Formats: sequence, C-alpha cells, structure tokens
Amino acid sequence: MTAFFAKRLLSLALTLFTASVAVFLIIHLVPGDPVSLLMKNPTPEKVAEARARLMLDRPLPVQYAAFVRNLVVDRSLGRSIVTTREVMEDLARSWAATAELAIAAMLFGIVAGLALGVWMAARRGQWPDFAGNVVSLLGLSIPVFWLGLVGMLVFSLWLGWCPAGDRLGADADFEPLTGLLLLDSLLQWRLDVFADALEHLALPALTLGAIPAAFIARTTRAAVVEALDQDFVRTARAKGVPEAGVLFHHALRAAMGPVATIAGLEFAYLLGGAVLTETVFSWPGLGRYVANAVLARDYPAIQGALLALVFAVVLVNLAMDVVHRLADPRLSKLTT
Amino acid sequence: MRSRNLLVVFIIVLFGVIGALYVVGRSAQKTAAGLKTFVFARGADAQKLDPADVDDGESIKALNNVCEGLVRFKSGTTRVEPCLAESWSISADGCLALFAIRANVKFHDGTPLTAETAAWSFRRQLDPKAPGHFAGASFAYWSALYSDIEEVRALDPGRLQFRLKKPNAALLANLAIFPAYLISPKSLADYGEGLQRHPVGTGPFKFKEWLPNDRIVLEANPEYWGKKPKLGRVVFKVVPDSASRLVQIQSAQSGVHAMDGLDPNSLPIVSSDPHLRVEQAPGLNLAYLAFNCRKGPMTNVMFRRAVAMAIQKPALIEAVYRGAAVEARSVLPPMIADNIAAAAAQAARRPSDAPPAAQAEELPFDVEQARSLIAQMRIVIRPVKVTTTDVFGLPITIETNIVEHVELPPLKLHVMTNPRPYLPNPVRAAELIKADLEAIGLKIEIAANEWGTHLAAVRNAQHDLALHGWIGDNGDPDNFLSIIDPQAAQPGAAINISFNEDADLAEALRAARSELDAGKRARTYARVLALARERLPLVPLAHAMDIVVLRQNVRGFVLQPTLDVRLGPVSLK
Amino acid sequence: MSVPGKTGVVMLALVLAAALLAGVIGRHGPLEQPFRDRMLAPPSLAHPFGVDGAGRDVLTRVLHGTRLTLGVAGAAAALSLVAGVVLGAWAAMRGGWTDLMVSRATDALISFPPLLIGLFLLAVLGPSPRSVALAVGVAGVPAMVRQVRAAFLAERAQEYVLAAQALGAGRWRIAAGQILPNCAGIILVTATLQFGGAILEAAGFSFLGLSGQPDAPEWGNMLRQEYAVFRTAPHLVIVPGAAIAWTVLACNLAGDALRDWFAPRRHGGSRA
Repeated sequence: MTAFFAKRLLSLALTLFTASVAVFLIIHLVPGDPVSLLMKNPTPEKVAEARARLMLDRPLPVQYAAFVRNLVVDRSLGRSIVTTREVMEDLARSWAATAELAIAAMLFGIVAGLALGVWMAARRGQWPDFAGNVVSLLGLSIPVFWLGLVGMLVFSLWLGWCPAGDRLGADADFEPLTGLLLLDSLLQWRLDVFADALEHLALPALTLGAIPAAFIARTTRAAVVEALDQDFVRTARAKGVPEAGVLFHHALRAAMGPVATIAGLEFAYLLGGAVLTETVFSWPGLGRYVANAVLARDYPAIQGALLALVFAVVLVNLAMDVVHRLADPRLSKLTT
Repeated sequence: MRSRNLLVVFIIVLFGVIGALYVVGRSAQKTAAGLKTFVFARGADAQKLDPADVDDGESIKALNNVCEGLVRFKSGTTRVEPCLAESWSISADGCLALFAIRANVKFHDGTPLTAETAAWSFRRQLDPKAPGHFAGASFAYWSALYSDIEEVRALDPGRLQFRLKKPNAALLANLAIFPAYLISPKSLADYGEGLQRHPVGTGPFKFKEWLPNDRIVLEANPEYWGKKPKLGRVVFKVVPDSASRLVQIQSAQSGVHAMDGLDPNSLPIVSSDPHLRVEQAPGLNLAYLAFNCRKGPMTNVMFRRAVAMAIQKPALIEAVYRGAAVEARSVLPPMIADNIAAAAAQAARRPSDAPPAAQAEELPFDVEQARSLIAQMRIVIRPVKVTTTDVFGLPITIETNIVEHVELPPLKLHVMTNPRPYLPNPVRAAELIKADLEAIGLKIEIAANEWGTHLAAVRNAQHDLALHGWIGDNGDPDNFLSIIDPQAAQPGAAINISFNEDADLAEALRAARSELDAGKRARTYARVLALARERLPLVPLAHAMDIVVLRQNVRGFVLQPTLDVRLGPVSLK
Repeated sequence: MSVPGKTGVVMLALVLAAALLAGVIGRHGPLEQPFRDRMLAPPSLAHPFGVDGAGRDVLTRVLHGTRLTLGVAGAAAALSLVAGVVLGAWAAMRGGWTDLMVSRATDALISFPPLLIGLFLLAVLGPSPRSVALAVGVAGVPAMVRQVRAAFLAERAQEYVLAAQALGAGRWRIAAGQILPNCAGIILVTATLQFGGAILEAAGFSFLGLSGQPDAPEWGNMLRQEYAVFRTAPHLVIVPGAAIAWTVLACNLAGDALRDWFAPRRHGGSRA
C-alpha cells in the first residue's frame, strides 16, 4: 500500500511538473513577442517593466523558476490583461462554481446511468432495452451546448420549472463561506437559499451529466447482462431468490467495478464539458473563465485557468485511484 | 461485500434528504424580501470602473448610477441641465467658465463635495504628474475632448473655474459625460490604483462589489442629495449569450428586470410576451465600414467609392437589424444634424437666414460601376524594355507598354464578435459585406475577434477594412465627428480608425470646435460633411434603434439617447 | 453484422454520398447569398431546409458543410490514427524503458479532457480550422496509443509471431507484416469512434468561436452563427445540429458493431 502511494505521488508530481512547464511555455510558443501578448496598449515604459518582471532576457529555466516561485511563494499568477485583476483572485472565486456543478452532474450521471442500465439489462431484448439503447446513444451523439439550449427552452420557458442560468436568484441575501452554495446554505441553515441554489443547479447539472449518464448506462447494462448469464446467478435463481433480489444483490454488484472505473474517467471529462455548459448557462465557473480568456487572448488568465483545471483533473484522478484501491482489496493484492 | 449495497442505500437516502430539504426551503419565506433588487442583464462585463479611464458602454452603465458630473443631460434628451453645479457662467471670449458647486453634497465615503474636491477629478487627468494619473491608464477621452482645458481652479469652496486655451463650443456638453464624473479624492488614499475597480461618487447608488465576468452590485445611497432612489439594490449581470439573456428575462424565476443587446430577430417574441415591454427610440449612433486609408488600395479614393457603391444597404438592414434601423446617408445621425440646424435657426432668428440642414447626397448603389472601377484598378499599364533583333539580326531594345491584370491581394475585414448597440449582429454584417465585395471582384477575409481584441487591432491599424461604430456621448457633432478627425488618428489610441490624413478636414473640424456662433458653426459642419462624402474615409451604414427590454413591473425607466442607464428614478411594482 | 451496425453503416454511407454529391446538387456555392429577398424563410419545396439569415440555401450549405466538417474531423482522426499506431507499436515492440515512458505519458494524458488539451493548443496556435483539426487530433492520440499498445502486446505472444521470429524475421517486419493486419480490426473500431468524437469536439470549438471564417458552412459554425434565432427560425439550428448528431450516431453505431465483429467482449460505449 505504501509503495502504491509513493508511486502515485511520484507520477502526480511528474504530471504537475510537465503541465506547469507546458502552461508556462504558452506565451513563448505563441508567435510574436511575449511582452506584446501581455498588454493591450504597450508603451515603452510598460514593456520595459514587463520585461524586467518576467526576466525575459534570462534563460528559460530561470524564467520558469521565477514563474513557479511567484505561484508558490506569492500565490500569484500575474494580472489579467483585460481586467487587470490578479488571476489568482478570479480563480479562487470561480473554482467552487465548477466544483459544485461537476459533482452534481456526476451524481446525476451515476444514479441515472445505473438505474437505466439495470432496467435495460432486466428487460433485455424488450422495448425498454431498445429505447434505453437509443436514448443513451443519442446522449453520446448530441452536442452538449445544443442539449443545454433545448433544456432551457423546455424547462425554463415552457414549463417554468427552474431558472435559466446563474447560481442564485439576484435578490438572495447570502454570504457564502466556501463558495459551494449547497454546502454553505446548509452550514448556515438557510434552507431558502438551499432550495434556490438547487433550482439553479438542476438544469446545468442535468445537461452536463447527460453524457456520463449515457455512458454509465451502457457500461452497467453490459456488466449486468454478463453477470446474469453466470453460474452464481443461475444458482441464486434456482434457489428461489426473487428476480429483484438477483438484480440488485448479485448482478448490480458485479457492475460496480467497471462503473467505478468509468466514473473516475468521466469525472475528469466533465471538466471539459463544463467549458461549454457554463457558457450556455452563464455559470460563473472555471470553464467559462478559460473560454473567455482564450477568446480575449488574455494569456495570464489562460495560463492560470488551465493550470487550475489541470490541478483539478490530477486531484480527481488521485482521489479516484485511492477510493478504488480501498474499495477493491483484490487490486492491492495483485500489484503491491 | 455489504458495502456496495450500503452505497445504493446511501444514494437513495441522500436524494431523499436533498428532496426534503428542498421542499422545506421552498416553502420558507424569503427573509430578504424587504430589499428591492433590480437586475439589469447585459452581454459583456465592464472593463474598469474609473470614469476617467473607460470608453466602453458596459463600464459606463454601472458608473451612471454611482457617479455624477457638474452638469448632466436632462433625462431623455441631450440638453444640459445643472447637477453637482447649481449654475454656471461662461465669459464672453469663451475662455473662462465658472461653476457654482452644490452645497451639502457628500461622496459615498463621507468626503464633502467642494470646489477643491471636485477639481481633483479633473486635475488627475490633466496633469501627468498628479498622483491619480496612473501609468497604466490612457485617459483617452481627456486628450480627445478636453484638451482645450488649461487649468481647473477652486476659487473658493463653492466656485470652480475652468480656463481654456481657446473657446470650445462643446464644453458644457462634454462636461455632462462620464469622463467628467467626479470621484472622491479620498478613494486614492483608500484604494490606490484599486480605485479603478472601486468607484466612490455622489450618485444615487453606492458601489458594493464587482465579481468580474459575473456581476456588479450597487446599493441605494440613503443620503443622496436629490430624489432618494426607490430600489434597494441594483445588479448589473453579465449574460454573454443573447438567447440565454432573453430566456432569463422571460422566465420570472430568473429575476431579471431589464436587458439590452436584444437580437432584433427576437423582437416578435418580446412583443408577444405579456410580461415584457420594449422601450425603443432612434439611436444616437452609427455603424460604419472604415477603410484603413494609409494602406494598399484603400489609399485610392476611387477604390473607396467602388466599395461604397457595392454595398447593398437595404439587405444589410434587413439581415442585421430586422428593420430596427435606418440607412445611414451621412456620418451624423439625423438627431444631431437636426440639433445643428435648430441651433443655427435660433441664432439667425429669421428662418430664411438659417443654413440648410446638413443633408447629404449619398453615392448610389451601383454594382456595375463598382465592378468596372475595380476592374480598372486591376489593370496595370507597365512600360517595359523588350530586347529583340532587327531585320539585320542585330539586337535592339524597344520600349513598349504591356497591359496586365493584377490580382488584388485579399483584404482583411475586421469585425467584433460581440453585439454592439449599433451593430446587433456584427458577424452577419461582415458576411453580407464580404459577399457584396466579392461580387465586384475583391477577395475578402473576415477577421472576427472578441471586442477587446478587435479594438486593439483596429486602433493599431492592423486592418484593411473594419466594421465599427460610434455611440454619441453628448449629442454634439464635435464628439461624433472625431471618428473622421485626422487629429484623433494616433495608432494605438486612435478613435478615428480610418487613419485618413486630410488637412482640409482637420482644419474645418478645428474651426467648428472653437466657433461659438451657432450659424457659422452649422455652415462649417455642412462643409465637413461635404468633405467626408467626397473623401470617403468610411462608408456610413446604419443608425440602429436603441432597444431595452423591461419586465412589465418596471416603472420610471427612461431610454437615454446616450445609452446611459439611470436607475435612480426607477421602481418595481 | 447486427441491425444497429447495418443502420450505422448505411447512415455513414449517406453522409459520404452527400459529401461527394455536394457540388453536383446545388446550383449555387455555399457562400453565395442569392436569396436575400427571403432571408430566414422556413423549409419549402424550393428550399427543403429553408433559407438562412444571410439569404443562403441551408441544404446547399449543409451538403457542402459535409466536406468541411468531415474534413476537419477526418484530418484529426487521421492524425490520432497515425501517431497513435506508430507510438503504440513502438512502445509494444521495444518494451523496457520505451514502453514505460510511452505508457506513463499515455496514462497521464488520457485522463485529461480532450477539450482542455485542445484549448491549450488553440491558445498557442490561434483559432483556425487547421488549429482545430490539430488540437482535436492531438487530444485523440493517447487513447489510440493505449488501444494499439494493448493489441500489439496481446498479439506478440501469439504462436504465429513466435513462429515468424523463429524463422528469423526482423522485429519491425513482424510488426508491420504480421501483427498490424491482425490488429487492424481494433484500430479501425477505435478510429471510427474517434472520428465521431472528433466531430463533436470540433463542433464544440466552433461553438466557442475558435474556428476560422464565420461564413464557413462547417456544421458547428452554422449552428453557432444562427444560435440567436433558434426561437424564430428553429430550422437553422435544428438542421446542422441534426447533421452533427446523425453523423456521430452513425459512427457510434458502426463502431459498436465493428467492435462486436472484431473483438466480441464486454464494453460500455463509445467515447473514443
């Protein structure tokens, strides 16, 4: 187990190092003078100041070291060209919005996916199987931004069930603690805010969770179908265990392994989908931040946001690995 | 083994608890209901919140409610009325202006308003050595509109005097716009350069917080000197996509009360929604196609004419504005042209003495002629020396002309991707103009960029052609015509992105600016417009209607020709 | 082949036919605006998919767009394919340190969302269709490497490879001549699924405004440009959206069927 963690931490450090080098290099890889990329209206003084600050006349490794030093010691990623604000401040505010959205979307994906998958497997070859197959394949084939807009039209406009964007109603009088609004509202026992935040979260989370749901449904169906054909299930049936018991007790259990693997992978992918979903729903998170930054060619902001997203992906993967390891003792016996 | 069943149970319980909490929360009364919040949704965020150093409408909309100037426009017009100055007088030679400062007014941080604290906001722009004159700020408006001001002096706590290098007919109109808003001198001590993100003014609302790319929050100023604001809180919210913005204002739960930047295609949706109402009026704006007059074929006036003749304006107005615009026949919107004529008529006392209104005769739409002009430009007659042999077989050199058809290089048409008040669908406009120009034998490449990037590119003259526009700040022709003023064409900080070098035009504009006689001023502007038509630094395309969508329960909102958003008198029913 | 598989292949064939026929069917080019007098007209006999906001026939544009969309996605998938096969085969055949490095790098990269890798590349390269193809292609490499490496490792232990080795054939000769043909199935499956994924990702970048000329009839771009009129002229968004969904669905169906054909084993879905 110790060896596993040591190895995992080493590869984590390597990934972070590589990613930070890549992100650092962005302004050097873009054609043109790095300084002119860092300001909208360069004047000689400003250019000279930026050159000195970025140490552009020094070798690249020295510049990289300064970049890391700024990041670690001063906790600074530089200032946005557009807003002139510290990028770190912006990131500190937007991460929670993305985290909350991604977690909710994943939760929806797992639950809906498992339910649909089991149902399809139980009615194998019948219409639920066929319909589920079509729905899940469509879920994988429809662009997420299109789904978001249609969802907004149907649920916000026609049915009037939930608001069409943003995280809280504008008249909410609420000071968040962590930025995770559902958690904060419970901590401060403000159930009205909790309900409000949940209404705002529902549609974006459903949109973002559609792909993982479709994917998990298909995985679950395949795993459960395979399990149902196996001897231990036949034995259970022969012993008179009711069909529901067979499904949930034996077959679903067999599906958990593959679903957990897929879920881990999908969670990282969600952060990519968040870029599109957040743009559609004006959700003030990291995804929208990075998309805006790329469009505005705001390089310090691009660097900061990409680094934050990479960091999030790496952490999620690590967490998934650990959970996997702890949950499945067979794995640790195999390799450590 | 059991743990996995527990997981299923856990998920079911989790959802049950969330559902229960939701139901309880939904039925709980909102405790903050006493505070009336007004939400204004728009497409982009502010750039800065320093009135002296912004030039984009999104920043200005928020500042309109936090800060005020010595004078302001009477609501719904561009006529100047008193604000923080109760009265004023201007000397006969037009070089001294004296303002009586309103008593008992306080900035939001408690600093009392005096002539001295008022002068500070002007001096920090005027004097490059002043502590508030930040290195990173451009103060572009000061150099463009206020450069005639030589000195701003507090004679005593109640009187503020401006001394001008030469008379300026637009002085009062210029003092009513945002760069002349007053901010508290104490904010420099409190926030340093951060004052550019934290405005402290005297207006009906106080700045509370700014979450970039998300929202700007203002709160009512209970000590406001004028009529107390009726709203408790104001939120300017960024919703980049216009379709989402419309859905938000339509669904009551989203809590949006007003929006601008409506896609004109959606006008029928808005007018059929009983919860919404549209405020619209002819706008004080112009959308235009600028030539970079210092580059390639654009230096040739015949080329510029050909382009102007090839553009199908009615199709453009239908496709881009869905009819919510009028074709532009001149650089000036009709409203300003009328202003000049009215002022001249008043000065002349007898209508017959008044110079004709600045009516313009436009180039006709004529694809055939445009095509032949371009074809002529593509023919190059080149003298060459040809070496051949004569009848005796000896080499001789003959001079002759050869006619060549040269391919014109592809031209870069720059355009912003964000809707602007004068151009609600800029990219569509670029597509149509591209098709029009390719029909006369040109090759066009569209360079579509986000607004900030677009602005930097065209101000640095990186374009060949550019779709751009102007929103009048004060209804005075001087402000509007800076888009063709050769003096406002310094690359980097250019307002005139046609970069035309035209001594006549520059001279005429200068003369008009310092002309205090309305009749003579009007005649000079007629000459300016004639020159603009002849030299054609830009093709005027359209004057868009100003459109703001409100929910039915909004009272007291007045559409301003300058697109200012004044929420002081607004209330919610 | 199963019914869904056949359906997928037929659907895909129709798309390819559209790409080939685009030039034959329309009388106008996809950029011409001959119908400015009936902008935003709904579908009719003369214009089965209606007219767009600039007076262009939507059917003509969708057909021409097939080439462009498939071109970008195809270039991306081809890039992933070539780079993935080369790297995967190299790692599997060399083993040792090479294998360790390649597979570690793959493991690290595969967990990153392709959209994130693409955004990084687009931030560097600037927006254009070529950048989008490159970004999507590079983002697809790790998944292909992993598949190819696993397939090669499995085949290497097979008897026919051992026999060829005993006969003295060189390592790379065996890789190209013996193993590759036997892995072609799984490579084809992965490439088909990646092709579908590439269409979706490219459309995503177009939606964010990161691909080239705004009047290009690329499907994602068409959808983005008419996004604002979704409610007044829904056909302008539904048609390109449906074209994307149709093609991606076809790839997913065909890919799944191919997988069952070549490697009948448990699988979940088709994210490539």
